[in-house]
Amino acid sequence: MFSTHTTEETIELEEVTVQGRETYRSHTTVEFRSNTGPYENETFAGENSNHGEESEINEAGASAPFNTIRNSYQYNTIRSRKSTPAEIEKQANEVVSCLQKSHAINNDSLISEQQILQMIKALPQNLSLKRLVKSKLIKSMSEKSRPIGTLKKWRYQASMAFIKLNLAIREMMSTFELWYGSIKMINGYFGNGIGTYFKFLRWLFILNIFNFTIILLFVIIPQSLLKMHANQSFEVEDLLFGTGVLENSVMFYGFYTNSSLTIYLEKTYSMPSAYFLAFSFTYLFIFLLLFFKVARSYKETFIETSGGVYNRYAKKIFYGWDWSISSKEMAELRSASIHRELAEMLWEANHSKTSETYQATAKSSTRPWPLSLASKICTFLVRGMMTSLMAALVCGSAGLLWFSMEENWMSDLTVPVIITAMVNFMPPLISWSVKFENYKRKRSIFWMKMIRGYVVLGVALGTVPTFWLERSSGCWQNRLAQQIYHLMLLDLVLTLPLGLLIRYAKKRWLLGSGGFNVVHESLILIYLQCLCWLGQYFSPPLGLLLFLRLLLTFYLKRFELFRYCKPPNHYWRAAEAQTTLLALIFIGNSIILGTLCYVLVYVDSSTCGPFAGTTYTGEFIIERLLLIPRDSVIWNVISEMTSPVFSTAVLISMCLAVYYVRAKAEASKLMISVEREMLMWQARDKKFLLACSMSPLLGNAMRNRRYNLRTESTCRSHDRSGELDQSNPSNHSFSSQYDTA
Amino acid sequence: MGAAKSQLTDQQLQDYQDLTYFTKKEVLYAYQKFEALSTKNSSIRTLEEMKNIPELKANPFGDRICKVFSSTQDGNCTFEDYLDMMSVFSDAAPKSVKAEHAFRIFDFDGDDMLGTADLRQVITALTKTREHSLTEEEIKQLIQYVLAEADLDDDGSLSFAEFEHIIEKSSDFSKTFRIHL
Repeated sequence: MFSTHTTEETIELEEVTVQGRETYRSHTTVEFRSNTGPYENETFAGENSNHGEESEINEAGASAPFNTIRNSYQYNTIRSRKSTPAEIEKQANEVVSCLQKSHAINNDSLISEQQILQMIKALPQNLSLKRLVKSKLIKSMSEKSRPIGTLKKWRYQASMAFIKLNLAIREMMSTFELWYGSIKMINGYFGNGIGTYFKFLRWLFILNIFNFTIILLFVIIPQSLLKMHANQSFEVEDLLFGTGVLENSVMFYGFYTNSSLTIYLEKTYSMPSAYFLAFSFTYLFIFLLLFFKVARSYKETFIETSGGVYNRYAKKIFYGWDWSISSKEMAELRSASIHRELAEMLWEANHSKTSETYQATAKSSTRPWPLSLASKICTFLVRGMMTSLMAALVCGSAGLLWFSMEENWMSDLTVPVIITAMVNFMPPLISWSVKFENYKRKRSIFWMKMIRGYVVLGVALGTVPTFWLERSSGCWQNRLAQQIYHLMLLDLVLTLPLGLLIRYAKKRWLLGSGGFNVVHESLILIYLQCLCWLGQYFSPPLGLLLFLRLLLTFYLKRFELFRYCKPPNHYWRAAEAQTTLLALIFIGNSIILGTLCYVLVYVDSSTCGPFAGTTYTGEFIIERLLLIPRDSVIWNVISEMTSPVFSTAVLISMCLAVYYVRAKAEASKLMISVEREMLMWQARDKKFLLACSMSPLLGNAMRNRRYNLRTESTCRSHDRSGELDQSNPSNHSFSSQYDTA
Repeated sequence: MGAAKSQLTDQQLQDYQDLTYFTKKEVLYAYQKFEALSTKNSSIRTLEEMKNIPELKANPFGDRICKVFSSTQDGNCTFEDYLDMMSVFSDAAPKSVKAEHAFRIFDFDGDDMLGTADLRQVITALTKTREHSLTEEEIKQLIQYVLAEADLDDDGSLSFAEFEHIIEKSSDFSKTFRIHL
């Protein structure tokens, strides 16, 4: 039945085959044999299928060693863990013999030591036993091992070296884990949700260190060697507005030279090439890093864990607790919140008209909505009104921004003030407005806030470059960079202290100390990072400013958190939040990259900067850097590829691919529900047969087919909840239940 | 640090690195932390001493965790037990290993099934605060709903496979089921 499915379906299918552990394992074993790649006789242990290298546990055929181990000592050994040395010794021997019995170790030449270690590592046993097993296994392996082929030996050695290297890198990285203690403490006192924010902050901080180092080494230092700034006197207002001597320094794009730097005799260092290469490297690296991070996070959070199952209650109970909580106060709060949420859910289930059909609705992953038509319309109207109000507000402020830039009257002052106000005051306004929209679920509220806040940021950030690209005359790059510099500076000197001051005032004069607004704070981080990505092409040292800002943010926010905030009283989906943050920053990054590419190809850059002299930066790159003459084949290919026809074709084929994959996913989903149903019926059939054989009355009935069919139908329509009330943990109670029938 | 190093042999360190999800450095750090748990000069930490770990102290399943990981099953832990515990709770441990131990922690009566009695204990431990706790009726209802959702073969209790099935569905589990060293 299963062998016809492809690998993708396999993973989904194995989820359904959860009927008793033995069947489950053997199914997954069969499954993975159908996609044997380099591992001929190896299959992945079912439960490990999602864990990369850990999953490379050797199994062979249906008598897979991992199965054998699990099944044999799951019941005999683990539950009756021994304590005396002699007994431990005995157990170890048992496990070792289990492993050795397996096909893989004895016959299939040699499996690498690493794989055995992985296998032992995953055993649910205590460490002393694992050590014993390891030493025994290694000993017996060295006794038995036969000489192996050179190629294989080389392969193992190479993979071993790779693993060792990996381990060494991990060890090195763990030494440098920044702010480890702080983040641990935050996790402990405030839960994983807020911890996610700080981890995100740390990740951005490290990314920016890397980013700035490259720019510093390859762009700023070479230019400084040539000339650092123009011969002008320095005034304080220059620092504030980025004018005067600052404008004619390495701070801004316009000052970078389009000539080459002589290093030693004939060797030269071409500034334009360095400028372009350094930036394209960092941007591309960050783009790819984000791309893979988002894809992985998305896969882990949404794809691998979806599939039509909706375990609302089981979820709350089995992982409502955050195990990293380390304070009594936080533990108390978490308990209270779990209690409240469970009570709410129960109340909802009991008071909705559809409470009996909950089981059905839970399966189809929709929630019962006990709303009348009138209240539905009312809610809809309020939501529509609020959304349009927000949209109007955003459009209005964008218009104001444009107007003040156009008038050029005090635009140095008004533009940053308007944008900073937008970024800092709109999100709280949004949070406030969402309250009236009557969203039932915490998750919808979170999404509403996040998406609206993001749109505000996008508009605020998008207006400035759009304005300057519209009128790209003179050294517009410097003007744009100055405006971004103003924004970052204003943010650095005003927003952070002001935020702290507001907190202090709230605590001092108003009642209570509010929670930590993770959504708002994360959006601010995304805004700053996007600002820096956009600005640093036109003002390379901007990265330093962001570096300082993030450093300050970490310490100030930590201070604020411990001093003025109380732990959140609701459950936070950390994994989903992390994916959302990454996705949002990735979208920002892609848009900025697109804008910069547009600047390179279509916008006149001949007036100033490293590419002065050539009309478009793109031309310089192709002709001078890549040395491709105008009428060569490659040039033709490039211009063909950028033509509308080609891009339309690409777009259409991508759409088709998405449609195909989507259809496949839908089919798998359907398959899952069918298999689930089947599983349920199978179990009921078994129960029925058990009942038949136990009860003499039904036993007789077995011979009578008509009666048989009738009872079966009553069995099937039997209310599940009724069964559960009567059933004890063991299976046997069911038989007695049918006895009485 | 120096003292800690001298008490673990190189062979031990290598073994620990191979058999846990820690690097040698982390093992040494864990050793230091383990040493700090007690003032007495003994190689075993009692249940009370183990609960000096703030995460275990705050956790409603603190005692149960110690018992599950203790090799003598009474909550007294040797260094190896402690290291094993921290390894399972570390970031690097795969979901399956975490699920296995979570199952054992929740399985109070040790019959390798999460029955109604186990679920009742889990729910009570989770929701009990100084001020309020769920009523008997509510707990009954909750158990019924949980089983309706997760008990695929309809036998009135959750087997490990069924439990793992729920865990596999969640991305949050490995994020929340962890204790930093």
